[in-house]
Amino acid sequence: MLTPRGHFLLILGIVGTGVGVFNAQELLALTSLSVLVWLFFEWVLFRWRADIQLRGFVCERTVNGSQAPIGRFWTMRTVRVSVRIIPKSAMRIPWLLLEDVLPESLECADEKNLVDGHLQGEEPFEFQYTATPLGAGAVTLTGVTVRFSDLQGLFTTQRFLPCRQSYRILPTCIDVETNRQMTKQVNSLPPPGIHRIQRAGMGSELLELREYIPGDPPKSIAWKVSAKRDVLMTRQYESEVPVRTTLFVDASFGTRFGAFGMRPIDQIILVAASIARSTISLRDPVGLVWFDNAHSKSIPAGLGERHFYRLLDELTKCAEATSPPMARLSEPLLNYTWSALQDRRPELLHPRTNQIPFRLFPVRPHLRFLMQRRTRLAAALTELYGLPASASARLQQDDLQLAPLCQKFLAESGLAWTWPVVERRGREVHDWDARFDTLTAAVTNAIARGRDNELFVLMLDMVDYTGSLERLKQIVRLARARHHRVVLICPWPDENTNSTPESSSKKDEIELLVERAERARLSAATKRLKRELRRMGVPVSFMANRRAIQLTLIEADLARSGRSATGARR
Amino acid sequence: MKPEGVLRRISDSNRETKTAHRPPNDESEPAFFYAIAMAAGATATAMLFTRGGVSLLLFFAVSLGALVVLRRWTVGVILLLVQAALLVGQRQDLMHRASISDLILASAIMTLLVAASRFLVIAPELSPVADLSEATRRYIPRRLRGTLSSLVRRDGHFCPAERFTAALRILLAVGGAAFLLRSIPVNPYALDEAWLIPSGLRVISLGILLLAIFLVTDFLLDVMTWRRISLIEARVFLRSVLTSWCDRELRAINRHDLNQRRPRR
Repeated sequence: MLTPRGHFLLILGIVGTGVGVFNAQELLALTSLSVLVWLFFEWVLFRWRADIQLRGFVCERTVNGSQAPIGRFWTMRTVRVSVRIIPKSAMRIPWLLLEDVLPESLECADEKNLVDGHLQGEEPFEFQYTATPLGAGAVTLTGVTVRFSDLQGLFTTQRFLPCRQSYRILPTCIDVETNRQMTKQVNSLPPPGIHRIQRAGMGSELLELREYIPGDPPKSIAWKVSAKRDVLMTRQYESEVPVRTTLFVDASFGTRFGAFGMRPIDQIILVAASIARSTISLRDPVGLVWFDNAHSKSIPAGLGERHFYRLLDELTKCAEATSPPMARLSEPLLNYTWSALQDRRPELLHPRTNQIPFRLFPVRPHLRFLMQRRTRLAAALTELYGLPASASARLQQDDLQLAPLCQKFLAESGLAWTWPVVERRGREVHDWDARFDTLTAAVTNAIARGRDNELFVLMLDMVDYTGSLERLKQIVRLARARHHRVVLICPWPDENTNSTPESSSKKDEIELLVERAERARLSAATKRLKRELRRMGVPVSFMANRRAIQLTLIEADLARSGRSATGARR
Repeated sequence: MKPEGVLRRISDSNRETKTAHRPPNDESEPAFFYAIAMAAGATATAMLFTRGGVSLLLFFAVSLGALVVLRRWTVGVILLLVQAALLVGQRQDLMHRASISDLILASAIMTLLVAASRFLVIAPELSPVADLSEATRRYIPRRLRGTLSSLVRRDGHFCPAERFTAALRILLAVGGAAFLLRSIPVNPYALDEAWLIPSGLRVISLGILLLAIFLVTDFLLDVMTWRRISLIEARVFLRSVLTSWCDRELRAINRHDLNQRRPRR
């Protein structure tokens, strides 16, 4: 509460008064005691304002014209927010700084969610800003932080006004132009969503003529040709089937590294939503399977707007679902949880509320500070997650129990907290065997349920994989054996997308070398993946962007037309 | 390798300078006036010291050095210089009572302190919130730190109401101090009654009185505040207090459990 200036004035006041009175120097004593009395008045006034008046505030937030506690956003579409701070009674606060606490997945332009001003009477304080959701998932706007200081800078404090509103952020789609031919190339157009395939079937377009085999329907006998050749000939028609697209989305914890909007999971969801939009607009059914290291969930292929919104909803759920790996309680994890808690719930860490039991040890100030910090953190987390009172003492000593709670709190606060708390290339993040097992089970299930000539889009975060590709090859072979097409989209990690060695002249040499080494490693990994998979005829994209969507749509076109390549004719 | 997300925001110093709340630089007008006032104060103090026959040059250099060291202490430096000047320049007199001229001088000094602290809040480098101790600062994200350092009001002018309240505070402070000093006069029989020298007894009496005033006020404010805390704060308080009662036993039980869990060699 007392700032260093306040501390210094207080010490000087006490010392000056003591020396002045003791030395019988009345003016020195009077001046120093005046400083103490001034500090006392300021303190009383400040505490009155901070502890009594500031608690009488009510916060109201209007998002896109609505004050509903739940709602929906779309990624990259601007959201208008208006915040009103209403005092319950007449008060005068000369200066305060207000910040509407935003999760990191909402980006506010020019930080206009942070304003300062004063309160006079019963007039509400109002401010507006716009924010842009960066990545799909769920966000909670928890409330407004009020920082308050007297005009002389002697005291400062922070309060939190809760105003909880929860929103789901649905992914937006990119419109991609494909090289689809608009000219009519066939005699009869099949109904929308039905595509002709050059295999024998029950369609309307002629595929070939062949000799009659007993059992062929007499209706299909081509009498004129049979008369000419003197052999019974049968008309064979093309097959007309819908081309289903199944999106396999990797939602494992490894895809959650990076800043919001650029995380692999955000890239994957953007591409998946765009592919679904384009495909459903052509009346082709789209299904979804999302999986992590342990579970998978599938949505059967379907059509229509309703199904599309169901897919978006499911993609949002898969962006929300987090199962962080078991992490040890590291110093960064503890520090960032403490910082986030100070930022989000400062009242729970206040020494007067969150009391520390007296202990003689540790004696060293730094160790004592760490002990007190952990005790307060444990008590606050115990309260936040409704644990029994004895759990607080347990959390103070048990790292294994405190670490998951810290992770949970950071994830719920909407912070991109993964690096450097969890190592991106660490074994605990990428359990490749488990992931391939889940993927294999999901693909096998999709093949078992599906028909021929489907499109499987595998969206996997694989750039960190250095092991054998045999498991992936088996999956691809299995799919291709049933005449399905496979596309692999591999999102690129965030950290190397924007920064180039040239642009970062200020970085030190070691940092640059590490960055270059990482770039070289990723480049080598992608080359290897491309080489291996192209040998099997699987198109691969290493950027989950417009090009990846185009690649998938081209492949879907090929599946519709029954051609093997873009250049080939029917 | 740079971290991402909030950690990037915390560690990226370039981003911070781009924010709209970037505090004004150190060359702002109040900081300039502050530097001039400090230089003048140092010279005046050095002149006072030279009356005692000490080399002017030496004390001027010492004052300048002290100024550089104490630069971050801002208003405290002014008070320190004033106190040093009064300590050296004022005559010791046990029977002296604060006169009108003393009250006027104390009011002038207080006006200087209040005005200086009000204006120096504007300069970020000199702002008290920029002086957060390193132990606290280490665990505050830089984004938040930036906010704290910008905890300043942009305008450097006193509004009329502010001038009035400032004057009222100064009068109350000086009047209150004079009242307190007057209410505890020097007891010439202190040596006989309390076995203390008169000024020593006065220091102790004043200290007890000030402490009592502070404790009573703090208690009253606490009583008023506790009735207004939120439910979650009350629960955290209750939990922490109840846990602290059996802290030792709980720690022993937990230590035992953790030892049991640890693999034995």
